[in-house]
Amino acid sequence: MSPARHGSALGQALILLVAIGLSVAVFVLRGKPQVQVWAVGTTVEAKFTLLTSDRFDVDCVCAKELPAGKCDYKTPDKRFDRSADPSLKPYVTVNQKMVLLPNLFDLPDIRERYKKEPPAGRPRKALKRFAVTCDIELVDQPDDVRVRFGRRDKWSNPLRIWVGKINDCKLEP
Amino acid sequence: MTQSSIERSRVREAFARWRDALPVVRADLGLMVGCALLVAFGVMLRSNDLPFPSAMTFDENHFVVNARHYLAGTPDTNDHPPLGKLLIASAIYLFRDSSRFWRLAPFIAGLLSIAIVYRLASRLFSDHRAGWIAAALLAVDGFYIAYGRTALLDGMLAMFMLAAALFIADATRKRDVFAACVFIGLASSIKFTGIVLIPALVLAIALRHRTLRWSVLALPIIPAVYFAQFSLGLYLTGRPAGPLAVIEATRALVAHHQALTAMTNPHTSTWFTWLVLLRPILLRFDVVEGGVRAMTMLGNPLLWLSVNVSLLLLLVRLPQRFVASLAARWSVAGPRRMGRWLGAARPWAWLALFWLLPVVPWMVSRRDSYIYHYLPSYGFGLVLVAGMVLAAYRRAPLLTLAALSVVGIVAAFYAPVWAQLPLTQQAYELRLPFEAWR
Repeated sequence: MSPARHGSALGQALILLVAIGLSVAVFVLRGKPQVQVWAVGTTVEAKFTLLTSDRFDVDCVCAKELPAGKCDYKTPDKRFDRSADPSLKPYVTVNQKMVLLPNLFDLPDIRERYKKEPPAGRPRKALKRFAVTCDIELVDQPDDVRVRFGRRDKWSNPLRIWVGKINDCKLEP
Repeated sequence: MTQSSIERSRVREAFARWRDALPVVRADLGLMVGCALLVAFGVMLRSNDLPFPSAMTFDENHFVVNARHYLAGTPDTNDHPPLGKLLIASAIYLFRDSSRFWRLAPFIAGLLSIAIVYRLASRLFSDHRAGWIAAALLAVDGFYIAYGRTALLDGMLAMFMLAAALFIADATRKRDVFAACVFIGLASSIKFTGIVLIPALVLAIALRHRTLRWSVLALPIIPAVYFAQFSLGLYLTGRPAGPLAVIEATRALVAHHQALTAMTNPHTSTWFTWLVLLRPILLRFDVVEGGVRAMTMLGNPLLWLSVNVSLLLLLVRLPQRFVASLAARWSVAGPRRMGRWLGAARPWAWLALFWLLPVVPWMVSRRDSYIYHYLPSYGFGLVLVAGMVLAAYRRAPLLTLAALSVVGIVAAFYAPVWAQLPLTQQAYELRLPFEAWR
């Protein structure tokens, strides 16, 4: 078969180049989600789903004071003495990142949500999960923090966890 | 002639062959490059982050768990013959029990399917270009990509059926018949539907009854392969593994399948809805930071449509041409003309038959059916499209190249929902706009 019947080489090359260009454009501009870089000093947006019972169920252990406050426990068996320092608690984002945040349940919106559904006397399963999106400034990442997500649970092994200061939190409708 | 002069003449011959082939290759360079790029893209999509997610999804829960049963020597509780699970178990045994290796056998089957359709189309249409096109089309089709990325059985079933068809359609020697029997046996050992290709094999033998008459004696290879793998499966799980035990186990499986007629599973769909993509199944969906990662068994919509159009064309034109050739038979040049027609119609007729046979069980029975039962037929449909694309390429090469390019662009658009690339929710819904697709 003669090359003429196959169209010119230039024609073939042009079609391929346009196709490759369009395909690459379609592929690259597919709508990638923006992934936030978590690093000390940056501010990130984090989404959590919470139960009102988390206010008292979740806890952490860390011997030292951290830039955003301190955990309620100095060692797994010993609490810190009461003080005015903000109380840090561990929360896990919907993207599975764990972060210690100070006094989350003292924020006005979340306090209101807590009042609407106080957990006292109710099993966890009976409580409704609610979503919160927060702007957090990451201030530290210690590697010797133990956590637990239920008052009767065992403490975890020492973990490396982010510590954040809350700039703003919004309750999702 | 001395040894060195023989070698020199061989080199000269090889060079002459290469020199003669060069203009042909150059003439089709655009097509070759285009097809090679599509195949490379398809391979990339199949291998992209194969271990993700590390947990089992969809029916992997049945097949991986039962593959582990074979390795642990405990009974297989799944309702298909052992081979598919044994292949999954082999990778776990050879390497490690992790999501990457659960999916290794289907992944390899997916790559082999691309190579097999290349060979099938090349042989059927006696033109390598048909092979390139078929390989490229199957490589960038989401239905096959999804099944090359997941520890399910249908990708392996389709691969064995495509391989069997390769030897059936080109059965000129006894060893082709033997090979076809082995592959039908292997397909039937993955899922019972593999046996649907037996009538095609019998037809191939009948069409060449002068040379292949005695090949009919090879048909028992099919049950022999089935019994061998089932026996192995029973033996590994510490159960009686003789022929009677295999018959008993097979009867139990058949009875179980006969009772599955409720069509209550939300994923079920009747066979004719497969043609219009009413209910492709979303195999995986994970929420990740800022978006989602999903994998659907939705095919390349453009290719899906092309398969339907090709089938429709075939349905109209094959009988039309057959009647015309019958009428011509009584003319002076009749027999020669009819012979020519039969020769030209051969690949189309085989592909129509290969497409039809795997769908027949779902047309005639009330067994619960799912869109993935269409996977083998769809593979043959893609080879059919390749044949039509080649015919178009012979007439209008640039236009056909442009059409193939559009297939590639559509594949680039759908790639994220075939290969689980992270997408925003909005981008995900743009690709799967209908509720029934999500």
